[in-house]
Amino acid sequence: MRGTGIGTARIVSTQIKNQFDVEIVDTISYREISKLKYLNYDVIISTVELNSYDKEHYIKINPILLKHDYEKLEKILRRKYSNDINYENEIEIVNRFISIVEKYCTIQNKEHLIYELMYEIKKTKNVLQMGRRVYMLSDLLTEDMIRINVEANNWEEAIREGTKIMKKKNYVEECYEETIINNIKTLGPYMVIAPGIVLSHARPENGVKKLSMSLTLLKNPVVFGHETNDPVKLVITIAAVDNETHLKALSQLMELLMNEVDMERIFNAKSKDEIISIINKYKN
Amino acid sequence: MKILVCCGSGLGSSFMIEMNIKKVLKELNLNVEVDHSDLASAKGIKADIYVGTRDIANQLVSLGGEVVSLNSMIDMKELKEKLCNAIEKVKNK
Repeated sequence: MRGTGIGTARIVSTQIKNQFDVEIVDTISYREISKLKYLNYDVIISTVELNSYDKEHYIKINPILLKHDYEKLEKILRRKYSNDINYENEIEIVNRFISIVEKYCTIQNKEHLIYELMYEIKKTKNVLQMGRRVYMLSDLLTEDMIRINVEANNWEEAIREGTKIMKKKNYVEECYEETIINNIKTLGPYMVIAPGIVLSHARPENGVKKLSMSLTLLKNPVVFGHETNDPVKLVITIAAVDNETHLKALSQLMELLMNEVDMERIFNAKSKDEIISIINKYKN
Repeated sequence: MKILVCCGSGLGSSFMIEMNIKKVLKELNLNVEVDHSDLASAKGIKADIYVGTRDIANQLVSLGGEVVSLNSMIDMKELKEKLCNAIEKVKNK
């Protein structure tokens, strides 16, 4: 719930949903507070003081959740990926699995099976925690993901050069670049987002294995058939794994693209280091 | 009033445009809802103004709102000009 509109309420609700095991019944504004009595809820979370309610009846937090807000929420909500899946819990789960398996099969090497199952659980846990990480532009556009002076004869080759490192590192499947190329063929060169720049991308389900980004500076610009933004010299390829994890890096990229001075330096860069030092400036 | 930004996949460009629109709206002190989606889902979302880059915008015309077609995603001047025009048109409807 928030002061005037539903904007903040929705942002807060997304943050809470991402972190806690909870159902958000509705997000409403302070003006609609009378609606509350028709809703079936356990807790009210608000970014403003609710004068008509006692302090114990709602939780007041900041619009951007800070540490003490998380602490307040943790008292009443369960964390989605709690850190307390400790060794005891894991071994208990594994033992339950083992007894199920024993019902149906003869286990040849119990000790080894326990070990392997434990390993899988740990791996999954790490993946879950990785998913919560915020990726900065400089985390993704690292030295190995940047190439300069790359030769391409046409736009298709330019797109393929952009996905090359990602394919090599097994971050995307073969079909990822095919989807990008097909999208451009059917929808037009819409990915040419600004003069000289293509933001080459498709959707996570088109074969993305790992969140990644690459920057490819072409030796000679290529034509995409865009009415106002041809020719293209800079190919930025993005492989996103979901709708959110890449957004921080993307907003930093946007800041960079809008800075004419820095972009001029990138277009004329003679070394990767020049590009990296510019990228490293965008950390907010 | 609601503004919907669309791009081919709903992941990249539409989000970037959405951020810029929010900047413009803040500058103009306007309280307008902004969201982004991919082209396919856009057809099911009702909005007063649909925003897309040039090639996408052509396909937004049939959705029944004002359409803002952008040449460049990073040109704030172009965005502000075209967005203001569209907002005026919606207001005068």
